Amino acid sequence: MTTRGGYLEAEDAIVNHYVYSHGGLSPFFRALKERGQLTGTRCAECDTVWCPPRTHCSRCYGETQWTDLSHEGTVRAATYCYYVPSNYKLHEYQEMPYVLALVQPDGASTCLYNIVHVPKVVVGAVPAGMRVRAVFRERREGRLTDFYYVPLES
Amino acid sequence: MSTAQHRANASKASRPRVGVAGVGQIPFRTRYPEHTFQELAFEVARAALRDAGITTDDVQGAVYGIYSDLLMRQQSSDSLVHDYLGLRGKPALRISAGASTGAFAARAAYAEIASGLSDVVLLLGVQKSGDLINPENQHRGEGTMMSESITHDVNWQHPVTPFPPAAWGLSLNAHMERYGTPTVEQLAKAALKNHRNARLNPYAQLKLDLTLEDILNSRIIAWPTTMYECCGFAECAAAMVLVSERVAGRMAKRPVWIAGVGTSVEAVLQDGDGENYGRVPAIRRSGEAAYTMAGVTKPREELDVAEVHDIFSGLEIMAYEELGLCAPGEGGRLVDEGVTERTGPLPVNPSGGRIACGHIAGVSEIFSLCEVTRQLREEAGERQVAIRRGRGLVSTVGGQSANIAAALVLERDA
Repeated sequence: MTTRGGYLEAEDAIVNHYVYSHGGLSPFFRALKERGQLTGTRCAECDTVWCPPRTHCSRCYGETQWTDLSHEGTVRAATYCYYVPSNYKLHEYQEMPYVLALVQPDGASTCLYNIVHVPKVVVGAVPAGMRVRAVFRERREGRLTDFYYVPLES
Repeated sequence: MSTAQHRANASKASRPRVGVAGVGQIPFRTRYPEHTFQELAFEVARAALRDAGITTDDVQGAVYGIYSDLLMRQQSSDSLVHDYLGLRGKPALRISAGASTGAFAARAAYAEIASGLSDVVLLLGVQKSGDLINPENQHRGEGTMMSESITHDVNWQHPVTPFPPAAWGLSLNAHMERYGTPTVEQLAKAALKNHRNARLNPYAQLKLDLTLEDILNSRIIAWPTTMYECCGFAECAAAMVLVSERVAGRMAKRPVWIAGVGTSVEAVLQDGDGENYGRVPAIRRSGEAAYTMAGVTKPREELDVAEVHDIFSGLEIMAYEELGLCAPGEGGRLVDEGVTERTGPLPVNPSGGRIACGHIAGVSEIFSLCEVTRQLREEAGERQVAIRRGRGLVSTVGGQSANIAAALVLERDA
């Protein structure tokens, strides 16, 4: 195949398959998949509660311990996504438009990126400070998308 | 050592000066089917060496800003470029830091000279990106974005926010909730400014004749950002020759000095305390470090020109605030008042910026350094801005959530 100007074009594909370990963070993904439970890690030294979890505290380098987290939380920031390229896996489990948010689980010091499902996606539907609760899917694979958030009052 | 002590040391007057002796650019384009990545690199290396009036014999080493191996279809492409440029046997270093890659490479090249290791260094950014396709529909942009998107944290971001405007849109929405600004009209005005500037730039990818309505009515990507308020995605290369003060006098042109360099790598916006929502601390910290080193205390008055990373127009406006050009929440007003127009008191993105001039990580940042160098030399042609104080700023940001930032202050001798 040649382009305008006579430059030869060739096809190629670099395909990589991975089987990766979640290492020390495995309890988080196992709890998601096996118990439908959100977990984090609490630093024994400075009490920071990490979610996403960390096996060691990045603030004080202390040891952390696993703890179940509340499924309720607070939205810290949200945006309204109207376009994602057609080849993204996201389309397999999410229709457009959708609300992406940073949610701080109750008791956690940090936030998770996740989707907030609302009956009608309109700008302003998910303001900062909104209370939300996690809903777990029936079929879970040990991924972040095993759950999503909905407004607490729904 | 404390951060303050680091800064005090960095601002010592005894620090050796590092100058820009040559710049080499080609236009951003969707694709360069006529060039391999080695050829793209060669085009700008030759231009930068000619601009400085030197040859490869004078170059003692090279620093490469190369963002992505996946987009390049090649790992360790720096050594292949190094050979193609005829620099075999000399030291080479490759830097990758998201959409701040080129500016982090500039810091490394600066340090290479300031440390006394070298007197003449070639700084070069190159990136292919248009070779990927989505095989389902032959769409090149989708193939490229799919590859680029794994810059996001693959476990904790990518499953729910695979597309950069969404992750970065969280900051913009939080800013709008916190300060009530910028308005959607201010976002469109900032984009319109850059689209207009690009029409005067021979290196620009997009030269669209848009109206404010065109921008406001284009499709929403992640609210409030519309398509024409998002950066392009191109392939390109850009290069500079950096020199020590010791050899600067032997170059063809008077040097533009690198007066300040600052970089910051921040967390991926996951702290729960809320202090940084709507702010971009990496831009703020990199700017503060560069200003301290350069002795800039009132950037709004002391700078003649700035190139900032308008990955989307909201980020340009937030950058005004983080870089001290105005108070937090007042960036939108700067747009309304025309302060950052090409003919305004502090032009920002006279090149057309990433929105219209073009963007690809690794190249854009060096391209912006070339632009500010040309502006300070007063050889920017139709898009030349007024030079009064002889100082300009380049600010870049990239990463998982606008968390990798750099700032450089350039200045010419009075």
